Formats: sequence, C-alpha cells, structure tokens
Amino acid sequence: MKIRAQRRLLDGLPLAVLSALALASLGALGPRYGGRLAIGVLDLDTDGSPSFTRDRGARLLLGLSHETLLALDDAGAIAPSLAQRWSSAAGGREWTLELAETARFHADTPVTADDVVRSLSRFLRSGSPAAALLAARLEGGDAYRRGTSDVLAAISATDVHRVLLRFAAEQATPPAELASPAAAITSADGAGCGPFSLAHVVRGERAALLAFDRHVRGRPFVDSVDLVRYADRPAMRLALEQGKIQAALGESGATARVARLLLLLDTERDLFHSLAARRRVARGFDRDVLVRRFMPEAQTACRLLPNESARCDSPARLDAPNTPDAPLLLTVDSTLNPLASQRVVAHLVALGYRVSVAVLHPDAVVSTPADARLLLWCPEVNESLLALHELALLAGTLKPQQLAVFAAEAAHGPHQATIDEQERSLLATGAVVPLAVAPLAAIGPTPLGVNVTPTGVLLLENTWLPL
Amino acid sequence: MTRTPMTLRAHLLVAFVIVAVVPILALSLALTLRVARSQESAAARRLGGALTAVRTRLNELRLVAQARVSALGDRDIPAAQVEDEADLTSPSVLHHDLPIIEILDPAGIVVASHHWPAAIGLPDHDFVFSTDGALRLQAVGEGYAYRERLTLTASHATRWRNQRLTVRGGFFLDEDFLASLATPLGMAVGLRDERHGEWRVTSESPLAAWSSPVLDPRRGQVTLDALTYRWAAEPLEAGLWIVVAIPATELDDVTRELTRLSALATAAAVLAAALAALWFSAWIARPVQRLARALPAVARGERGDPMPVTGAAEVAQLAAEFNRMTAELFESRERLLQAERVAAWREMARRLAHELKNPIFPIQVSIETLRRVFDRGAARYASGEALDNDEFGRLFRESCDTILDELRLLRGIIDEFSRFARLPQPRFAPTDIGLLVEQVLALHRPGAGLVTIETELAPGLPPILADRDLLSHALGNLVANAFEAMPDGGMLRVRTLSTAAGVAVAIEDSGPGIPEEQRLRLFTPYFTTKRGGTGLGLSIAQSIVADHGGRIEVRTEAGRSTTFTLILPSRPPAPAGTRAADRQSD
Repeated sequence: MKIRAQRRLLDGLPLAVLSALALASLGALGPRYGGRLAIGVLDLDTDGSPSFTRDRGARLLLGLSHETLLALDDAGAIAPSLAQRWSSAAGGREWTLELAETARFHADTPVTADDVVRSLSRFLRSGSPAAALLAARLEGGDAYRRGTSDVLAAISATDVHRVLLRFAAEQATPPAELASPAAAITSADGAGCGPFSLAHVVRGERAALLAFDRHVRGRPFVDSVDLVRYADRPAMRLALEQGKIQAALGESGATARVARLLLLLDTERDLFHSLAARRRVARGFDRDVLVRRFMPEAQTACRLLPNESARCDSPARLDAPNTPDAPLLLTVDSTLNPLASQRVVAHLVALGYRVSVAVLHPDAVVSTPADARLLLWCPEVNESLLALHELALLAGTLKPQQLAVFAAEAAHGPHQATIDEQERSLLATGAVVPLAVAPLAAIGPTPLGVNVTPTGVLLLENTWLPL
Repeated sequence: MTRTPMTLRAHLLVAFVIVAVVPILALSLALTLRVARSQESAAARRLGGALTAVRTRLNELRLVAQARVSALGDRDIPAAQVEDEADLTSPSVLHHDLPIIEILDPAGIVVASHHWPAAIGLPDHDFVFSTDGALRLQAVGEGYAYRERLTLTASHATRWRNQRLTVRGGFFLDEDFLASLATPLGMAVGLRDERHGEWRVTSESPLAAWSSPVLDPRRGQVTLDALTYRWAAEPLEAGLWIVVAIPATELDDVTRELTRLSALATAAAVLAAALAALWFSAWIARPVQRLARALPAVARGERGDPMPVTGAAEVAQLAAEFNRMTAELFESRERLLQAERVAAWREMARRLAHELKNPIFPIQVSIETLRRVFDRGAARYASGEALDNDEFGRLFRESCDTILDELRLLRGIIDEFSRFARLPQPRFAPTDIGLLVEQVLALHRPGAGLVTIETELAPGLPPILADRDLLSHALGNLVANAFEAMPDGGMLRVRTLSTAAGVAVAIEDSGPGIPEEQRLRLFTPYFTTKRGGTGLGLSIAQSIVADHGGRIEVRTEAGRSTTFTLILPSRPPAPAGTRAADRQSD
C-alpha cells in the first residue's frame, strides 16, 4: 500500500504551538507586520550556505534564509514550495517540476531552472543522506555523486521555469529528498530565496536576518530574526526567563516532541562488535526512570519512528558485568540535557563499563570515533523511509541490498509494511537504541507564532498571514 | 720504565695536606651528620604527627557519619512522607548534613541517591576499599557524566512503608576533606589509591606531580617540581594510603650551608697546608739541596765554599759534618797528591838514574880503557918499549865514538825530560781535526816502513777549539807508538768520528796488543817496555788531551789490535786552576 494515509501514520507530530491563549489573543488582534524575534541556540556552526548538518542552530538559520523546491507537510506529504506544479511522463520515469514565476532571490533576481539544476547538482555531491538516496534513484546519479562522472543528464532545464528529472525506474511521486534543507536553491553567487535574507552571520556566535518582501509566499510577519548562541543551557534559560530571547532552541519547553534521543552503539568497535553486547545494553535500559526523573517533558521511545501505539517493554534485569571496568568512550550531544546523559552513563556503569564522556557538537558526536554515541536526532527530511535510511547510515548498518530496497520503496511510495520491517530490522541490530522523544525548544511569551518542525527547524507559524 | 722517586718536598707537601685536612674533614662530617640527624628526627616527628592527625580526623568523621546515618535510619526515613521512594534523599525530606547519602533495597539496587540520582533503579556499583564497606569510591554526578570520589560512609538498616532498606551516608575524603585538615603550613596531605593509580589531593597539592610513588618504605624523600620533600605514609586500607609530605625546611638550608662551609674550610685548609708545606719543606730541604748540589762539585775535585751551618740542629749538624768530611777529603787528597809527587820524583830519580847510568857506564869503560891503554903505553914508553900508536889510535877513536854516542843519548834523555817539564799552556783556536790528522800522518808517513796507513775521515766535522801544535804532538806520539808496536809491518787505521760533545780520533794498529798489567800503567810517566824509550810519549799525549778537556780511551785485543781513541770536546773547559797550578809548581 502506498497511500498517503500511511504517511500520516508517520509521526509528523505537529509541533506544539504557543499557548492557546496567546494565539487566541493574536487572532483577536489580527495579524500585523512588525516585530523582532530573538532566538537562543546552543550551536551555530554555519556560514549560511546550504549543507547537511545536525547543528540545530544552523538548520534554523538555513530554513529561514533558504527555500527548497518541495516541502513536506506535518504528515510527511509532499507540498509545493518553489515548485508550484509537477507532472510525470515516460511511465513515471520523468518528472517535470514547474517553478513559481514569482520566486526571486534575495538579490532580486528570478529563480530559474538553471539555478535549480546547479543547486541540485551541488546537493547530490553533499554529505546529505537524502542526497545519497536520490542519487541512487536518478539516472546516472550514483556515478555523478561518486565523482566518476561529471555529467548529470538526469537533471536538466527544459525552459526558464521547468526542470526535468529522469529516474532509473518509475516513480509514483516527486522525490521527497528535494525537501532537504541541503537541497535549497541558491543563485550563482550563493544568494538564497528564503523568507528572510541573511544580514550578517558570525560563525558560532550570532546571525541577523531581515524579512524578505518578495518571498514566493509573501513577506514574513516579523521584521527580523536574530539568532544568538549561548555557551550552555543555564545561560540560555536565564536569557529566556529575562525576556532577552523569545525562544530557546534545544531547551526543554512546551513545544512539539520532535527530537529522538538515541543511543548509537558502534558495531565496528570491539566493545559492541557482538550482537549480544549491544542487546544487553538495550534490553536493560529503564526508559521510564529516564523520562520520569530526568526528562520530564519527554516521552519514552522504543521505536525509531513515531508510533503512538507503541509501548515499551519492561527493562530486563541487569546482568552481572562480563568485563568489569571495560573502558567505554561515549560522545554526547552538547545540546542534550546533562541529567539525561548522566542517567545513560549510570546505566552503562551499572553494566560494568568504565565510561569516559566527550561532550561534542551534534555533527562531531557522529563523526568522532567512539564506542557509543548519545544523540538528539531529528530527521533530515520528515519522511519515514528517508528517516530510516538516514538512521541506517548513522548506525553504519546500511547494506547494498538494503539501499536497493530503500530506493525501490521511495520510487513507488513506501509500503507501511516495508517501513515497519526496515525499522524492526534496524532495531534488531541493536546498534540504534531509541530512548526518548524529547522536546526541542522552549518558547517564551511572545505575540509571534513560533513552532518547531519535525526536522527540528523553528517555524514562524504566522509568518505569511495576510494583513 | 723506572719511576722517578718523589722529592722530599713532595713528601712533605703530601704529609702536611693529610695532617691538615683529615681533622677538619672529620670535624665537618661529624657536625653535618649531627645536624642532619637532628633534622631527620624533627621531620619524622612532624610527619608522624600529621599522620596521626589525619587518622584522628577520619575517626571523628566515621563517628559523625555513624551517628547521623543511624538517626536517619531509625527516625527520619520511617517517618518520611513522600510518594516516590526516589525522593527519600531529597534535602526537603531529610534534613542531614551528609554530602553522601543513598538508600538501597535488599538486592543492592539504589532506591534513592542524593549524590548521584542517575543511579536510581540501578545496582550499586561502588568500589569498596575496606572490609567494613566504610571506604569506597562512589560515583557523583558531574556535568554530562560522573566523577568517582573517595568517601567515608556508614550504613544503617531502616524501613519505609514496610520495605526493608539500607541507608548509607558519609563524607567525601578527597579535596573537601583534605582541605579541611588543619595541617602545618606547607605540609601536603594526600590519599593514594594504589588500585587505580590515582591521587586524591587538593588541586594545588604538589603530590599530584608524584607519578609513580613507591610507598612501601613508608618514609623517604622525593623531588617534585624542583622542590625536595620528606614524606611519610601509612596504609589506611589495602590499596589506600595516607601520604604526608613537607618541603625542605630552613634546617635543610642550614645543613646545606654547613656542608658548603665544610667544603670551603677543607679547601682553605688544603691551601694553607700546601703553602705551609711549601715554606717548611723549602726550609728543611734547602740545606739538603745545597748539599746535593755541592756533592758533584766535590766529586769533580772542586772544593768550593763551605756549607752554611744554619737551620735545624740536625740539618746544621749535617752541614757541619759535610764541611768536615769535605775538608778531610781535600786534606787527604792533598796528602795523596804530595805522596804521588814524591813517588813521581822518586820514580823520576830512579828513571833518571837508570837512564843516565846506562850511557855513563860505556863512557866510563871507554875512558878507563883509554886510560889503561894510555898508562900501559906510558909505562912502555917509560920502559923504552916502542909504542903501538896505531892500536892506540884505533882504540882512542872507538872510545871517543862510544863516548860521543852515549853523550848524544844523554842529551836526548835530558831533552825529553826537559820537554815534559816544559809543556806549554795550550792556545786554543778553531781547528779542523780531519786536516790536522792528515798533516800528522803526512809527517810520519816516511817512517811507516812496512806499515800500511788507512784513513777514514768523517766529512763535515765541525771545527773544535784546540792547540794545533800540542794536539799534533799528541797525535804524533800515538802514531809513533803504533808504528813501534808493528816492527814487522801491519795496518794503521786512523778514523775521525763525530760525538755528542765534539769529535774523536781513533788510531788502531794491528799489533800484538797490550797485556792487561801494562795497559793499566800505559799513561804513567816513564813507563816503557821499549829499549831506549823514555816512557813519556803517552803521558805527554794524555796530558795534552786532558788540557783540551778530553780523554784517551784504550781498547786492546791480545794478538790482534790496539786502539787509542782521543775524545775531544768541541770547546775545552775553563782551565783547571789546581792542575795548572800543579804543573806550574812542577
């Protein structure tokens, strides 16, 4: 079955909105332009160019200043963005995307099909997991991604506003991978076409964005957005409480539960090379205690994809340590609540490991060699199959035949049964241990509509409300 | 290789240094050791006191922990009104002053924990040092993980809502505890976890720099960050030690200063002793050295000035004895010379008598024969017998010839004696010895007879200072002597040689050689084995060579050859007064 309803089973998890009271007040007043929104972040490792990153501050910045061809709604369904219409030919092997004629870059030049071809060519060679899957599906995409060919015939401009995509096999829908922030469309000189133009950015410190009047969906509601990086959570929390910022990304708060706390066990390292060792870690973890005492805003998670009906089994009794005091290096996402990290460490210590912790930027948590990783994960693209593919890459368990399955399912529209099977398969490896679904942002009192997307991007809900 | 014996001054120098240094060194060592020992003793008392203080403080903490944990277990926990057992250790529930507190169920699962809430629901996983479980490493939540800290705890059974539980509480034993100790200024206190190879010390403690301590001796010294510490240690439990250390104190500085001063005093003593030894040895040795210098002169026959009779009694006595011995030696020599002179005169008189007697006898016989013949002729003449004038005339001529011959012989003897007595003082001038030899040989070559003359003259011999006439006379005598040794012919080989001090002339004949008893008297005046010889030729030759500062060596092989070698210095010595005086007096 490849019906849209299945996609809705994905936990698109609409992201929490500001308090109903605040919104009601806003509605009563009616939308109006103006205002400055300050958002605190714990990471901001970007220069503003589109790229794949797990840095949530960077994702926010890219989401505000860039635009993609396609978007996904909360349910994971494909929605128009820069591309307003699309059609297929050759039995679904060719798809033509038609650009909105009003789409313009911040430099006030029109967004053309040539800009799309150039941007997607850059995207295919990026580190994005979604790009890897798209390349596997496009005709000659793999050779281009690997660099063995510089010719990419699969993406071409048929006229100023139309882009043709050629696939190796028939496709049921346009590729959801094009909704990845890394697939944002930029001009030849790097200008974006998102709702806000980047006024300036100081990497790792702050960024300032100004509303873009000629955005394809209209002018944003707020006049400007400032991103401010804080060194730690207490400082950011204090700034939120003092009203210096209106939202804090990475801080617990009344927002959507969109980030998933995962414990990744590296199957290539001696400590977790055996399945038994990995299962021992996973089975005995008490998620209830973690959530109840250390992540009160979170919920337990024993699945990789959102599934409200899933209930976690009771934790198994911890075995006596097999290798007492075996040294274990754990890299921890610096945006994670430290108490949650302490609980995971305590669990590993109780299993007999002597744990050393390295607290790192979310990207470094994945790239730094370690026995285990504790990561707050948001999918690159809010689509179940792409998310599973990304997780398999993260866990290092993706095999060629599995990649073929992912590509085939993405082409025809994924079956729920296949998604479930892939998820079970990934869980069975014991390399990815879901622990909790955690809130990602705290929103302070503000008349502005602010929310967080399932991909971890802060959304300004009433940005495009008409006057 | 022979070793040159040490001089008297060197002996004295060594003896003085030893005598001066040994007592000072011994005194310095004794003083330094004494100070060091007393310092060790003081340091040991301070370190021992610190260890005792730490133990006392630990016992106090143990008692406090026991009292507070008992109160919690008996009273507070059973009465606690909380819904979740995990909240039992919350400060709002239990009022305690224990930084460490946790509650465990009978299975050892952490029910509640104040210092590491993350462990709730998990098995207790502490590392326990002591058998009673009081000393343990406990995980304490810190940042994203935990830190293992050393604790001193007490346990007590309790109940909460009919659950049997155990409450454990206590104090940290690392930084906080160590910082709270009232230790003397500068003293470092630490706990060494041998099991994990870690120090439990305050952040500024120098002990942290001690990477691999060996604590078994329980006390010693160690240098940390360029500072020396005395340390003492004692085990708290198996694998856990209390270590106290104090830096080098002022007393250490005093010891070092003392050692330095001792070294300086020893060096000064060595210097002073050396100077004193040099002066004293000079004072002692100077007369001896004068004696040593005078002895060779005495041996050469030079009397010189008498030794000053000064200095120590023994040395003065030695000088006096030397003077007396020298005086006696020269008197004895003088007597010997006089005896030799007398003997020489006697010998001369005997020779003269002998030599003169020989020609006188033929003269006497001739004259007596003439007189007898004349008397007999006169008697005949008186008796009227006819005289045989022819016979008388023949006899008269023969007698006259004989008398004249003997008179010539007498004159020759007298001339020879006269020449010996009148040997002139040599007048030195640069002389080519090779040329002189050739001239002498040329002069004597006509008288060589059957003797073949062969020369080997070294080329390029440096000229020597010599009296040409006297030296040709000496050489001539030796050449003539050689000719006389080879009456039936033979080989005369004359060679000139270069020597270290001058030149040498070797005159070798192939004659029968000289018997040993004759060789010893060769140069005695008037000694001769030849008929008609005066025995003065070799004496004159030796006298001339001696006046040139040289000597004549004789080497003879019986039946084969005899070699006379004149060894001449390139420059004659200053005239020997005594010999010149002797000859003038002669």
